[in-house]
Amino acid sequence: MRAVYEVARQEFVRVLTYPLVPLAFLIVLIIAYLNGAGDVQILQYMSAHEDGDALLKGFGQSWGSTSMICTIMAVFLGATSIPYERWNNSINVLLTKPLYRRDFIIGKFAGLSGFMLLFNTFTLLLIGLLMIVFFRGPQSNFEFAWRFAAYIIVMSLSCSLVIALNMLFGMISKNILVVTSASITYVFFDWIWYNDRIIYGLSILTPMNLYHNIIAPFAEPFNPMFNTIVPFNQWFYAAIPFIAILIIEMSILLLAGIHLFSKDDSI
Amino acid sequence: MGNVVTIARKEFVDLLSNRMVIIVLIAFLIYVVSNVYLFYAVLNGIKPGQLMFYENTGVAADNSVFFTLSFYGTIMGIIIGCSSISSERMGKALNTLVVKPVYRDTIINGKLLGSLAFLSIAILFFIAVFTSGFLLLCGNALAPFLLDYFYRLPFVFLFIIVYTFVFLSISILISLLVRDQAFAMILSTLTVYITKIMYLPDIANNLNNIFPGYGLNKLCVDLSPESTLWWQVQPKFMNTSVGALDAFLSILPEFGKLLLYIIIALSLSYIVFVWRDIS
Repeated sequence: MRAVYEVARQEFVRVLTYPLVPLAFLIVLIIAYLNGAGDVQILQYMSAHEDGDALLKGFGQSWGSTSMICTIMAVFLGATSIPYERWNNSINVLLTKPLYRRDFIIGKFAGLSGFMLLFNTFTLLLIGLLMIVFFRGPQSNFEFAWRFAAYIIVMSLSCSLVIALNMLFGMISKNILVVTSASITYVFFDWIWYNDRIIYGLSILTPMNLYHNIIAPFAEPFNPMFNTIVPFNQWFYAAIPFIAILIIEMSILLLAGIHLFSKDDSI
Repeated sequence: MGNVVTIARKEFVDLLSNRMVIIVLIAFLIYVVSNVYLFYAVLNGIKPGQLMFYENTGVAADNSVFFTLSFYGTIMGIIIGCSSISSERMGKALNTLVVKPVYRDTIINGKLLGSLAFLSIAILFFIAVFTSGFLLLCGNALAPFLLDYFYRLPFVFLFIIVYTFVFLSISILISLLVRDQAFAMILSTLTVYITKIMYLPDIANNLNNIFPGYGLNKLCVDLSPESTLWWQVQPKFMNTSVGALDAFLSILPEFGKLLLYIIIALSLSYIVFVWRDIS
């Protein structure tokens, strides 16, 4: 357990200095400011003409662009994590230590997931605070806190699934550029192409569709996670099957990664 | 000129044997085939929905080719652009090439020519897949409009080349600017993300709400290649009431704008490549 913690901590610190992080931070900052300062009129209109807390609906306004940048970051942090260790040969040093390969992978996964949890919390906190500054506070603090926490957890779980998938790419190929291009293909497949045209019903299993289904497990009313006229319990019970699939899928991918990495002779 | 052609030929062969490029092109081929099937399925009522520009099946088929290969095909531009620089940099071949008695602009010209040739062949191949699929699956429905389909096709090909080349040239520029090639690929993907979100209400409308009166909403829409394609080019280019040439002439301003993006990205690439230390 101690070894996993140490690897996770080292991975967390490594990621902090990765050049993608300040760039994603800047993009998030711009989105948050635009969403907070520019969306006031729409939120006021929603507040006057629609039921439910307009502040929470404000999160739904920018969920696409926010989620996509967080996912892109998770994709590339996951994909490049092990290839970078291979590239600068630090993996050889690590593997001579009394450390199980399983612990190495779990530690890396935990470090990256922890980082994404922190980044997502920061992102959504920034968006929420700027909306509160420019618009108004929540109608019910308790309701807001529940849904806000749920949003952070769901987004972070989705990012963890993406990390597990892309770490697997990093274990299948040793070439960092091949891994990165596989990750680019994944981003297009899941976020830009209509993947249901290729894999039909199985498209429900892709990280983006699972994430979308957790946020909106039923079509009406729109975006139930951000809509306070839908009781929190109702949304949660409807989302449970998708959350369960997400966690199972993440565990399978992680186990597959551990299996591949442990059996590989030429690290 | 001989050196340019030699480098271009080497670039073409390198791209053809590059695993990264092959992975991406195979993935995209699967998507192309699925789009051909979707066209057939919607046309025959197997799937619900209606084809865009359904009144002329030939133009509807052109639209399917046009939209799939440009809107979703930006991945080809990114991967070819990144690969053309990264494979040389990672294999240190660029250093060897730079010390040879050839001008640096000869190297970049050769690389661009090779990349353009490869991109063109890839797009032609995908168009051939589309056309064969349409003829095999929807031959009867397409037959009365076959001339419409084939008349518009060369212009569609030309537009797709220019559209994907925008992303190719941006990827080349990024790969030259950034030393870490994996990171360069990530940044190139971010350019697609940015062109995707900059015309959405989250950005364009909100920006306009914060600074009203400057037309920032329209500026964001105009600047994004994706919204140009979606909102400005498609309705005019696929207008079923005009012929292929007139439709193409009507999108010349947007076509020129994309060419301008290419010129800017390539000019910057020339400056970076000629003036900077490459390692």
